[in-house]
Amino acid sequence: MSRQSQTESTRLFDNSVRQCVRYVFCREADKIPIKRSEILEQIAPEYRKKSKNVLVEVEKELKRVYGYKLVEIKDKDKILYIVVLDEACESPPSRTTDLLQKRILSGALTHIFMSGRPVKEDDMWSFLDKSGLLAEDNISGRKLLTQQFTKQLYLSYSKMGEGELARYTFDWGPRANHELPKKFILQKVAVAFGTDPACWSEQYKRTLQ
Amino acid sequence: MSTAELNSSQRKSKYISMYETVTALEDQNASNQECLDVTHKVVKEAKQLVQEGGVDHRSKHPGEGLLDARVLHASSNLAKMCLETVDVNMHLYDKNQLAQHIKNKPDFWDFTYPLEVPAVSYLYGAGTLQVSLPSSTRSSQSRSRVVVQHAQMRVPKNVDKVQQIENGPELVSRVDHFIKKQYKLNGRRPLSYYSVVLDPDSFSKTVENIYYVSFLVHDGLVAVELDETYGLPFISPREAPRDNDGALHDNQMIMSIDMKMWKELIEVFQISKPLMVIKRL
Repeated sequence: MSRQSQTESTRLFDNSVRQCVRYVFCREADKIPIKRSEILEQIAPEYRKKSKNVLVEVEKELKRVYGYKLVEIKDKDKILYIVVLDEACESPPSRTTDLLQKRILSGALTHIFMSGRPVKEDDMWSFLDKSGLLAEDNISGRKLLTQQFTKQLYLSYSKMGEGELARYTFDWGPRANHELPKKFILQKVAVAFGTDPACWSEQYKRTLQ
Repeated sequence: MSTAELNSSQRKSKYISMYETVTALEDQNASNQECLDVTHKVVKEAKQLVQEGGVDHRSKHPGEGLLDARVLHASSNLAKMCLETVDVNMHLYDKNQLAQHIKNKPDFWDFTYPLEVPAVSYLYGAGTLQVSLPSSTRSSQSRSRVVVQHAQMRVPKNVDKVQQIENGPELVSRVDHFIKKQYKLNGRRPLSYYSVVLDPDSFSKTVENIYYVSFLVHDGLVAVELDETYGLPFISPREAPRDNDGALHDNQMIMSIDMKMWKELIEVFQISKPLMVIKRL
């Protein structure tokens, strides 16, 4: 009887792990961070208390099967998870990705990185307009950066300063930090302008941090 | 005035230490930033020392003036050295230049990020997992629960009744078989129509039975006679006519029944259980 219950509990455990893995895999698609509580809901009630053990196995499985890395991001008092790759690789482009949106993001991140400090939003709008990425009068289009990319943790959109001098600035979000090595961006810029990455000494220093 | 005189030797020693600091940095391989910081501090301090003394004091202590001059000279050398070591090739970021490049060569800026999870859209439909995403249009105040259902592959147990239209002929033949069998069991005597079709448990089944029997009548496989005494219908099986043409085409049994009538009939005929039990899909 006890052996039976042991295999039964192992089965429950395995099922919980599998369910969590499936959940993470499906949820990952829209790049919106997953709440820890949402993953825990996938675990069988019997194992809710041992959620840590389950999650360790989930992480292992994601790494082993998909090459995914589950990254923990602390947001105030919540724990969020994002999924990135465990090892860098040159992924093929996807037909389902919105290319223009991705380009806007890449442009924004590059501009912020090269500037060396958070970029004021007026500066960002003018830059995107000059790049032909987002017209300056397209106010609703700005939501892509202020809402979507922020929610996905690609960008951080925060208030700097106080009172009348307060301005909103854009900076790299945690997801961008995990997914996009600074060296990679500097290399892109260097190639674009036909220079050596080392020429950009200030930026190069930042890649070493 | 007296305080200035007391401090003269102290001031001189201060000047000397500043001078030594600055010259030491020249020899060391300190970073540009460090040199500039020190230079800045030293010049500030020298300025302060000069301001402390008045014109009279300065004329009385020319030695201090000399030291001050030396310190400044050393600081400016250090600063000059810093400027020279700055890389001539150093680029300054020009955002307009970047913007122009993106405008002219947008394809260059289409790339996947090295550690980004690629979109594997071709796999999404294959999962046996239904996930409803937290709706972004809902207000942040409303609690959005993500519902996950494990949709299992199930063989449908109950086929929709709508499909029976396709299987009509099969059922009709089943009814035919039943009537033949029952006829034999009844000693080859005509069967009471109502006893055959009525199902006390289900009105819809009754209607279906009437429907199938009417087909059989139309096709000439079942004969209908009205009883002489009560005018009640009786049915009996017959051979299918060889000749498809003929008067048989006029043979129809048109029955109408509603629930009230159905209930009454059941009561009158005292039917407690259905006679015709056939396998329906």
